[in-house]
Amino acid sequence: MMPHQANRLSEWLYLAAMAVVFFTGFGNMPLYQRYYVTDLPGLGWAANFMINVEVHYMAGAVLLALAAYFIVSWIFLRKEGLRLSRTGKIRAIVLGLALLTGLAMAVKNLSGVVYPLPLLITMNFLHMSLAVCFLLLALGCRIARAPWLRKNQP
Amino acid sequence: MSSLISRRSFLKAGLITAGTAATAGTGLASAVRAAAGPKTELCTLLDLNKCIGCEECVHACREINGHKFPEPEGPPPIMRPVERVKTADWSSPEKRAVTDRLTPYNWLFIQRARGEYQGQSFELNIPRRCMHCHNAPCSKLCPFGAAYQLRNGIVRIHPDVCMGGAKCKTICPWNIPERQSGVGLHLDLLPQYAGNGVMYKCDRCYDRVAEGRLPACIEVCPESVQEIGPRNEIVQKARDLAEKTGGFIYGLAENGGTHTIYVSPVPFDVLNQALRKGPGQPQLQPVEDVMADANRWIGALAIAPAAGVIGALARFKQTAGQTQKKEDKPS
Repeated sequence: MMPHQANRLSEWLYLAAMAVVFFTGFGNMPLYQRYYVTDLPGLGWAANFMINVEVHYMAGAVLLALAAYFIVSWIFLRKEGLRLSRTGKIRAIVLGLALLTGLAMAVKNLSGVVYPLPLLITMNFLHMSLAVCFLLLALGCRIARAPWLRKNQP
Repeated sequence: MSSLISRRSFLKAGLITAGTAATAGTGLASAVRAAAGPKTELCTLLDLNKCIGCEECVHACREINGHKFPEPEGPPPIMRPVERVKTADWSSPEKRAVTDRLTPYNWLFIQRARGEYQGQSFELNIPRRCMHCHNAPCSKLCPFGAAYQLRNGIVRIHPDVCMGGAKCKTICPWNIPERQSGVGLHLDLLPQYAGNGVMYKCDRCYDRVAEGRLPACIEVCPESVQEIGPRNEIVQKARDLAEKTGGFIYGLAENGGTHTIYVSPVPFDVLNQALRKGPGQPQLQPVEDVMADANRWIGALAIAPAAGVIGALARFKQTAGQTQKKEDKPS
């Protein structure tokens, strides 16, 4: 696969995984049935919380793989003078924290793992808030056409 | 007259006193005290051979936990969309008095089963409440962390955090939690558009257990139907009892294991058919581990970063190879 093809594929994967992870993330709250979302053609599955969480995990796994892919790529690209822009840095930190808190939530769901109530509530609200922050940041940056990367001036 | 002690209250007070004295002597209370350490998983064993259906446990639960029951300050708000969101108001005196099903004011009820097994008729009384699952989906998937598990296995719903969305009820294999509308945190946020009250269920008298005391239902039972202790000991006792009596076990494997184990002289599929089931009256069917499928994806989450690193390294190795080829080509 040529580098530009890999770039295009990873970008599409990123956008698709983001769409799915946000849709299923909001779907973890009992809102979709209440507000007729599950009545839409092809979205009936979102009424099932267990399917919803599995799809959320799947999309989360894709995002984790892409995050690792982009981190390694960024290390290589640094040598060529490419740097994260200021908004890129903010987005990377927020997204990274959202992914890490998501991982911690997934570990909590394993049998025998018990988080004390304060930690449980903190993790829940951190994960939700970080995800919403990232969504707003990403939309803002797309509207403002702010890039993730900038070329270092020689 | 309100100042008079009713016969039931008098009997209950006597039973609680007698129960405390008796259990202190038999070592049951000391077992809870010893096991009340925050890390010992507590489990209950219910011997259905013994239950006479007197409902003393039901009334003791209501009395001891009465201070935890919801007290709405008025009628619930009109929820939106009206045709989609139903309110549940159990706060009228008539509804509060209901004892033949689970409600926000009745966390334990006696389910009656009448039928025939191997040519003999049977009549069994089954105390029903939250099973306190080992890997409780309600506590794992509550989006706000309102449903949570204590290290001693008790699963509780925090009334100050719960939004009353009833996800816990939907994913509970027994649909145990019950909603009271018009109370809780959601009233301070978007009362008509998000949330719908608070969910209530048995909390196994977590506050009493923390003090080394028995849950009320166990303490007052005149027939010693229930006992409580560390899970491994209770599981062994349940197996021994089932072997000794030729009985059947429920709750050991259900939903990946629970902290409530029933031993019955009648198979549970027969019992399940003989039960009146419906809202607030749970079934007794075999239950698969609800969280098992979702938790299989944890492996994918663990492998994913490694896959990403390998992908990136492969990409840059390929790019480096192509650059090298270009450089090696004679111009």
